[in-house]
Amino acid sequence: MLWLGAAPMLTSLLLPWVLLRPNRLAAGEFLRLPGAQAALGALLVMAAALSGRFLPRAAPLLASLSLLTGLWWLGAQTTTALTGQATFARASASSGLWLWLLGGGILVYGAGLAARGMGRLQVLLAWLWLPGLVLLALIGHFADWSVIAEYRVQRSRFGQELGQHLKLILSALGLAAVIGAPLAVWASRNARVSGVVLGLAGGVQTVPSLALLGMLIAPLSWLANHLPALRSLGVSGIGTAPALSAMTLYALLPVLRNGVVALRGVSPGALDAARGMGMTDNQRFWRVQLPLALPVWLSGFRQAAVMLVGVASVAQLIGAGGLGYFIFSGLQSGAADLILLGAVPAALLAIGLDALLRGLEALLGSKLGKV
Amino acid sequence: MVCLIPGLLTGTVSRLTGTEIPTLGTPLWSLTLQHLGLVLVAEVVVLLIGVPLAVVVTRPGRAALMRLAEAITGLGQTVPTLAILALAVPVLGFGAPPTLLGLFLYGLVPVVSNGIAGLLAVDQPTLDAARGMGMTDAQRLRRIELPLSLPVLMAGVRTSAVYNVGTATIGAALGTGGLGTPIIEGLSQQNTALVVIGALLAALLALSLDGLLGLAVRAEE
Amino acid sequence: MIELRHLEKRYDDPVTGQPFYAVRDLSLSFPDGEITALLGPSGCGKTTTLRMINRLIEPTGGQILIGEHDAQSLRPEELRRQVGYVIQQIGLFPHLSVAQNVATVPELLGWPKSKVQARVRELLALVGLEPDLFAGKRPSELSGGQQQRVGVARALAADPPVLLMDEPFGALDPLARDKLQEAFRDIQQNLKKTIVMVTHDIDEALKLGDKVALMGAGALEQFGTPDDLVRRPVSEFVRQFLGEDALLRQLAGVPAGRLARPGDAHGLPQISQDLNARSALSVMLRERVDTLAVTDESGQVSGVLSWSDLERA
Repeated sequence: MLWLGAAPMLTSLLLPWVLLRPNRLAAGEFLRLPGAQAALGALLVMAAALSGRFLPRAAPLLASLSLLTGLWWLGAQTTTALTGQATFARASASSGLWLWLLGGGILVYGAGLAARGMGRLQVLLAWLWLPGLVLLALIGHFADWSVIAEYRVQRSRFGQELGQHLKLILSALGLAAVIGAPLAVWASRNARVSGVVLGLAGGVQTVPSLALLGMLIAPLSWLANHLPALRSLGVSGIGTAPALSAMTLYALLPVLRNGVVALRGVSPGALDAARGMGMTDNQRFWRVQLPLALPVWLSGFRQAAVMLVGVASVAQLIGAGGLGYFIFSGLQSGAADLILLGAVPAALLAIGLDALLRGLEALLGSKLGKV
Repeated sequence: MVCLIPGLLTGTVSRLTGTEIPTLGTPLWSLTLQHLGLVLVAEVVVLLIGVPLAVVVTRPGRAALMRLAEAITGLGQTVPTLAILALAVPVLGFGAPPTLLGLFLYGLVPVVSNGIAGLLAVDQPTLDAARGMGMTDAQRLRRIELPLSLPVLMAGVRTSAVYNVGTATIGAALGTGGLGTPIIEGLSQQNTALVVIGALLAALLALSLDGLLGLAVRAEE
Repeated sequence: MIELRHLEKRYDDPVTGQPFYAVRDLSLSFPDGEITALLGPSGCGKTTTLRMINRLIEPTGGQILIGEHDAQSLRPEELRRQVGYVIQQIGLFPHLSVAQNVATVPELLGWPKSKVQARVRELLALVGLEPDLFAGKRPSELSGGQQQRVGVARALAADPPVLLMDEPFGALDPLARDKLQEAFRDIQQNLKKTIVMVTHDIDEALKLGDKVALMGAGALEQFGTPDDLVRRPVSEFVRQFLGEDALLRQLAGVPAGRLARPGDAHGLPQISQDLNARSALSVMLRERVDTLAVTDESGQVSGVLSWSDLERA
């Protein structure tokens, strides 16, 4: 199985690793990994892949080292490439490096899966790359990577847009929870209500996020023009208000659907027993039904959160900002580094949120005795 | 499909929103076909890769491989489509290729996960009987496992196609064309009617595709 | 003739490496044209033995001969197509019609269409399902008993000389089970297949088996006719497994008509010839007599059944 990760990594050694350009927009030349390092890399990857068969206990460590080596090279190779170049020169990661990191990710994940049967140490070793990455980032090892160079130019703007991105997501999620939770409880008790509510929410979902954002401009600007009170609250046709409305509508479907499924999925036996013990309807809901339904419900919030990271990156199109700002400006000006400055954090944010909430689900599930 | 009659939709929406609608460079019906084409091409690639993948990882003794495959394909739906498209642009350039890649990665998840679920749901005694009757692995797959898992797989294809109709609109930001074009134009010109037209057509396309695939599944049974 | 020679199935514990023998040094011949019941408590290796015959489980030692051939000399698929297979969970293919289910093996063997069709109708009739009524139905539209009739028809489709059955009637309710057992016994009387039937149901083994092979902990305890096992158990294990009421159980499988002989039936309590001998015994005890009159289908007295007849049974 580890070969699935090792194969792209070995292939990557044949591809260019670094793209060196005289400035951020110009065309450039591709640089390969020096022969000695490529040989070392091949050796390391082979060792990691073979260890899966012959020495499984070593696989997590070797996989982590392989991934970490790629990250090290990302910093080291870009630094080497820029030595002696003019100030505006940029060194960015090319296909080989990306492929190595992708393969390394697969390798580490596969080794981690296999490590579960071996013990705590092996599982920890499979995660060794993460503190390594943090350490490399903290000591400024990636300083010469073009995306970091771009970040230095945009530093204040980046913090602002990332903050806006997070603000949009968390507010939409909060609103969806406030609106969706009571609706889900109501719908779970009434088949007709659940049909209507889920149908409506599903309908919203077929409208492309891009269009939903745009369609809310008109009604919101009408509201802002006719109700000055709302306007003073910051409601207007473009910007945060329509983006937040659209995102809330979007997040409602997973929250509602999983809520209804989760609340209905609670075993009738448990509810019956609770009634038999003399619990009131309220006690039954708060003490039995809700705790049992929570893990499944939470996975609806996870789906919503992951989706919102994506919708929020499109929100820039109606002037709501967020990481999409960098992506769209980059696309317009043809600046690959700027695109990456938006896309890489957005991707990592989605993956991180997903992992975090999955962990929370698992924790909650084991605490509440339901997987 | 009635909505594609030139002038009918634009006229109605224009009157409803009270906005003048500028003519687009490409007629709406052609944008719709372009959009459908993108989604279908991506879906074919998804099937060609997703179904064999689901089959391979559900063979006995490959539980770990299955988890790995689910995790990797899952990334396609976790990472924002715009980020995937944007990441692909430096490598693939503008236009259809990055959009197709994005649609493929996004559409792969439901097909693979439903394919896996469908194949795993095939009753063990049924498989035991098939083996006991002397079917080879390939015969068992073709005659028993695939037909029995087809409804679940088709549900995945439906989800995948419907979501991708929405996802494909983002491709317009990369100049791929399709129904995202009027939406993006409308956004930049502050013309809500254009946005509504694009949205309506995309939603209608999604719903008709969903209906058609639903009919296909029912006919199969 | 199926012959097992020193058959062995060993599993090694993945953690400790300790070997465990599901079947150990089992030598046994299943006579042609007869039903042999593989009987034993759960976990005794009887199902493992059955599944080794058509190589759904590969033995770790010993030899299996089917006719002249060593089972290992054939491709497993080829071997299985020549051996009928019926399981407790029935395992009909839910997406195929009854007729398509029955036609599976003939199609795998490449029979011409018309021959397959004729064969399917013939078999459905044989197992007591009206072909016109049932051929087009889906398995889900049938009752459990009807489903297993299809299962039996499917196993017999390519006319295999050997039939392997794993608790074939175990999942049915008692009524359907009795009916299907009767029907099956009638079918076998005409077909004379070599049948190996795994069961943990002592009544079923005594009733259907021409021979019974009783297994315990992976090894053969006793092989013989039901009568041998009931009256001449070779070990304490056999006696205990069959229980103190083994004789009565055996009587339950025999219809009174088969034991009756001509005689003076005047004034005796009457029983039907279809009543089983154990019930006949109950009637004797209730009526405080030692002889009963046995009547045929039309209600006419056809003979008498006495206490001594039951003893000889």
